[in-house]
Amino acid sequence: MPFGFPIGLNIDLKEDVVINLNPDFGYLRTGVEKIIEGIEIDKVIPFINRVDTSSAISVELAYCIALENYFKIEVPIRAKFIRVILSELSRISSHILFLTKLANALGMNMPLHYCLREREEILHLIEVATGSRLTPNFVRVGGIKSDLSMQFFDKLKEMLKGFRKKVHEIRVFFLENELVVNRLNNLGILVKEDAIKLAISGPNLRALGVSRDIRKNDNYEIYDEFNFKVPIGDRGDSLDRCMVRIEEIEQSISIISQALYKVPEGKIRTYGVVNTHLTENIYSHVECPHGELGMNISVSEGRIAKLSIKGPSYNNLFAFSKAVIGEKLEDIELILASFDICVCEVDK
Amino acid sequence: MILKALYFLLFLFLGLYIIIYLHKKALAHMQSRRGPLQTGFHGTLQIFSQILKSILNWPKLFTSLQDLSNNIGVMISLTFAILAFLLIPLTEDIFLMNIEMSLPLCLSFIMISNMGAFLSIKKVKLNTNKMAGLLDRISTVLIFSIPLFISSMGPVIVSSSFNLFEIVRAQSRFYNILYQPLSFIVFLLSCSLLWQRLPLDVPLKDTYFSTDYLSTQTGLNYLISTISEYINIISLLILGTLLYLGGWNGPKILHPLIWTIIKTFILQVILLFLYTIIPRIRGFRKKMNLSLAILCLLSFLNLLIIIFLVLYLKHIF
Repeated sequence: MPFGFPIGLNIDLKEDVVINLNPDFGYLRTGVEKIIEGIEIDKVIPFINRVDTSSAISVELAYCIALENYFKIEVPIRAKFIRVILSELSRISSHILFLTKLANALGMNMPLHYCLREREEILHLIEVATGSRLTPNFVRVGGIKSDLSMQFFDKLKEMLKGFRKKVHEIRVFFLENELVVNRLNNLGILVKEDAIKLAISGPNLRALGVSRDIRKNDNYEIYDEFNFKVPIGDRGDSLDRCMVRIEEIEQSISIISQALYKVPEGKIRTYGVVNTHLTENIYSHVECPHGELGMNISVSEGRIAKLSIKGPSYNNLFAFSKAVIGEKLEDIELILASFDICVCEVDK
Repeated sequence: MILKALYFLLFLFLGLYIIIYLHKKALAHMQSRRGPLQTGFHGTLQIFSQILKSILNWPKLFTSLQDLSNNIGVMISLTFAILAFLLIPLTEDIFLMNIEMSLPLCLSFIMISNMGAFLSIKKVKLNTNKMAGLLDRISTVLIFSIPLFISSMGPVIVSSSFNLFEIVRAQSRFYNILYQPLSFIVFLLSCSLLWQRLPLDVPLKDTYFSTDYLSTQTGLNYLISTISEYINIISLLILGTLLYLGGWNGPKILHPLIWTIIKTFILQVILLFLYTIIPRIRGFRKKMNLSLAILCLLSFLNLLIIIFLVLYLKHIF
């Protein structure tokens, strides 16, 4: 179990330079795709949000959007806004968790604890909204489980007041500290051709300068109503990966603050007609904090016939094994942390 | 003499208690945590309870022959750490021994105390990671002892003596830190290595080995090795005070002992800030570069400057 990640790394070395690296994974295998076969579609969500606990809302969202497309259910606008707010909150929480991992790999104690403090604030908000910090079980096919209280909106407004300053503090810790910048610069560079061959997505791809964000490209939910930029990097080194994520936190705050004043009144769920005679597969994808999270679903008689999850971390893990070649042995931990790999999503 | 030694030990244990508490509580507040809160007022009794818990595990001390070398190593660590502390004068009047070569002897004892961990190699050799970590630890101590010794030669040249009393007396007008800042920085950085903490050394979790060789120690052994580590910290900090900050010299509003304590405390806070702010030095090669290429060079440069000052501008001192 190197560096707290439950994966094995088979490393070939020449002196202390990495020649080849093969990841050895599967220690967190749950077989969730098989378990949920035959389960009613509404009862699947508590199983599926454990695929990626750092951003469980995104997984629930991917599943529900797939089924809504499948059954052609129109989701109420209020529910869409609330889904966007919560998924952006979970994106911030996941990116801050990434920064704590990075700070730990860098051996910096103070930013680590500062980041954990900010993350705690976000998790508390998610708890107020959904009742659970990590596995909310909140998104439903056709809407959301329950409406949000005024208490949540008040707390969110209060949080947003000071949070930009805190993010600036985090930016100073990581991007304006010369020691950290020198350490991360030109470390673990991923070549663009390799990245495209391995089909990586998310911040790791955007760090290479490729502006591909499903929130912009596919406009799922109501992301077209918000003004936000897609931060991109330049060289695709560890510093770019860190910078892209910190800027994404800022953009997420901007999305939340726009959404907060636009949330309309109204219903929160549509109970659509479940057509039991459909047999074809349907693919749907969302932009989860780690990258593109896709779901391929087929339903028979109101139950899941087959579900396959295409997580981003699996591809990112192999991208890591490419990026680490030619680097020193002592840098492996830092490069692994800079890719933000969610091992439970790799193993599923 | 025995009574004096007992006083010294009492002072040492009080200092230990305060410094361990400071490491837990002050560090926690720097990292925006609360630190210990449960046992006693703001966790003040937590260290006491931890010590008690370790002492109650004493029957594990001599369990097998394999442990014997380990136990001897731990005892060597503690003995030499205490010996080094006993050699250090706290004020002009409060001292246990006044030896001509007290500075090199004291530094050597601290080094030997750090080497004591090497005797646990027999226990560690079963685990490759722990073995590698231990070797890394020992070699870094050896490497960083070189700039530590060289940098401490600056104050020695100024006072023309290895005696700590003479070194402090020579600073009655100007403190060494004023014209030997390079030497002070080198000394402080080397101290932070011997402190076994970030940014220069992390024996518990290095960048690529999970080098928790200390996890082989249990119960009383662990307590003793940790305590000897902390005693070394106190000794090094007081040495830093005596060498660069003028020791007990200061305005006569306060007792000289209080001046020593205040200056030691300031050094400790500086090291704590280094610990929290600076990221870890990457790998063994970088450490070697830092020690042999940068710190040694700086300390030699400092020596040259000091020799020039002493030869040509002696009237300043």
